[in-house]
Amino acid sequence: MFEGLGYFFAAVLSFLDPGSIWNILWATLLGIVVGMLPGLTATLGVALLTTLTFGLPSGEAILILVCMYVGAIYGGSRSAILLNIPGTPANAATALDGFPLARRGEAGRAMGIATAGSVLGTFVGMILLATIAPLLAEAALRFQSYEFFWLAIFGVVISGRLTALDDPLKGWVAGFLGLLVAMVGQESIYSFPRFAYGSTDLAGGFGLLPVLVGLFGFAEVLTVMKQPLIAAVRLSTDSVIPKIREVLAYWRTILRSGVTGTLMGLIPGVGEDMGAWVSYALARGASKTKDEYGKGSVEGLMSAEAGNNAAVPGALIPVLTLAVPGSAPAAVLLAALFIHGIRPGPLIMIEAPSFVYEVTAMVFFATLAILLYGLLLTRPLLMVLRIPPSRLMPIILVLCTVGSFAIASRLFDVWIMLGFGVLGFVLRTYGFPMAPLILGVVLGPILDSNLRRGLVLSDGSLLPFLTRPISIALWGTILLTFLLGVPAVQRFLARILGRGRGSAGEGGNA
Amino acid sequence: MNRTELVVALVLTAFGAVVVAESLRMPRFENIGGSFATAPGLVPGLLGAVLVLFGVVMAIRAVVAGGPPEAPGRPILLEEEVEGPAEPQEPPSAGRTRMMWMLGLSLLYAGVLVGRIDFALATFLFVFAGIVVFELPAFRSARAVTNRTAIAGVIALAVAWAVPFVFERIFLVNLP
Repeated sequence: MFEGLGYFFAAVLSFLDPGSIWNILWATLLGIVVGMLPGLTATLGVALLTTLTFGLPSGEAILILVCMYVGAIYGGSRSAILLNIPGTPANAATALDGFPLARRGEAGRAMGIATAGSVLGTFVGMILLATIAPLLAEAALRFQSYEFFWLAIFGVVISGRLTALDDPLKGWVAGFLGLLVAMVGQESIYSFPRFAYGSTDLAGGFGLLPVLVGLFGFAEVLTVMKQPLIAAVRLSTDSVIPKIREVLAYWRTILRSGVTGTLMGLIPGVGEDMGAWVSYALARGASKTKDEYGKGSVEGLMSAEAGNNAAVPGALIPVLTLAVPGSAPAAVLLAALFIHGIRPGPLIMIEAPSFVYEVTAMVFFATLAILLYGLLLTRPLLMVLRIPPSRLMPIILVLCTVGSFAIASRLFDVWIMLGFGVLGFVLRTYGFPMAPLILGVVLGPILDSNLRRGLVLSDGSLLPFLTRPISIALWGTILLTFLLGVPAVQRFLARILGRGRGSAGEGGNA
Repeated sequence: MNRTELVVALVLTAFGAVVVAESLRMPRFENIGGSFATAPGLVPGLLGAVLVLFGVVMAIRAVVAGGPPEAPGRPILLEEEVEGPAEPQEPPSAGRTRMMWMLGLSLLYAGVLVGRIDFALATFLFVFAGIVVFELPAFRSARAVTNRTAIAGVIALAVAWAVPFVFERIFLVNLP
């Protein structure tokens, strides 16, 4: 453990040169701006920046991306509080209590609380990242093909369940569609071009970044254009600097939200938005001032922002140790790691043990940057919110086009971006969530190669898939997730549990 | 009987069936020692079958239960329908028109122009056209028209210059 601390401090020191500090400052600021603007999400921001930093040395590039990620999740709180429009989906819970506070004339106080919550939440997540990642990597060393196969399915299933709470079936469909999308192109054993129909472009498969930029960029632009274009910002006159006593009074909430957020980020495909919602729900359940929630509760606001920011380091844990993304922006970061020649996965603690701590140090500096900007630059930054979507959306589309082209320099990638943008827009209209889809695209190759490799290793037998201990845990959880998603089963359970609770007051029967 | 859901479900089922059919057509490479387990069509076929299953369940649900369970006021996580501050009312078709324009212009720009004509020129045309189209409702007086068109032109020029500069000169990334 102390070895880890040593690596962490070494990493922190290594980032104290002017070049890195400059990168931290501009990347985090850009992230905050991206987070603030509707139509731009953290995922798109990280994706576009990945293409931009393609040519930079890996350490610098990853630092920039992490700062953009942290900044974007924080930045969304500005528009959520002032406009009741979350800048990114992760900030939807922030709007619930932030906007009422703003309407009461306490927008500055709300923004200060959001800053404090975000900073402290990220710190909690950061500590968990540094402690859990090495442990998880060690456990993951026992993973073989069979376990990775089940992990891929687990990721898609749990993501589908949790990101489409009211209709898990659609979440699962999205996830399996994503897995299928990853099947296009040359497969790993015979290099047979699947679903290519003679086209060399299709034989190369769908690159992750163009697909991402399409689903989270173009589709988002179309969605924003469909909605009424927003009105001007409501400026506040009160101070944006949080009172320390107020923040410290809620230390339990912050800790609880930080841990919850990190755990939500840790679960594959379930990211910052669930980090916010689950933290919010738990804080409300444990709160002595429940009724204030939704009407301007400082505690609620803090739990939402701590939760969503803690999910950022949380999402990085599976990225580093399992090469499985914990959230959509983390999926982009995963792609970026591969692009820069870094191999995340269980072997990371053996091949490059200091890397996990370097990433922790990056998160640390990004958090300091958002504290700085939150305290000093809030008012100037609000000018950004005055940019009308009519001017911004075309610019975003230009960036999407350039971004999709930049990695492989093929126009086909731009068409992929367009196609998936339309597909994503259509799917969203019919209630399908995007996160499981993108997770499926990332996990598809893992699923495919590990299933076939596992079957070859076991001589065609399904036995090891079903009987190895970790595999049992994984498919058991998958089965449970499916069952619990079926409404009939939910009602059945509610009836049993209700009866067990007795008849006083509740009744209990469905 | 929820017709939209049913159509979506049927499309999904048909799609899954096509995937399964195509996967079965893929070679098995038995002549070079392949087996069922290593067949390229294995995983796509299984995935297609799962999609067919989901599609059928969704279709049955649409017919029998009238679609997915009603959302109990819980927010839809990735598609915010949050009410904003009071805005001027607009007819519901306005949003759809804007979206179609954006779609059309984007497809024209990224699908046709980019790669065929100079990137900076294409970008200028697209950004200019885009801003003008979306600000049309605000063109109420002759002065507003000139002002806004001029601003659109300036922004378009700035973007057409800045994007290639930043991407190609500063970050050394290829542009179409």
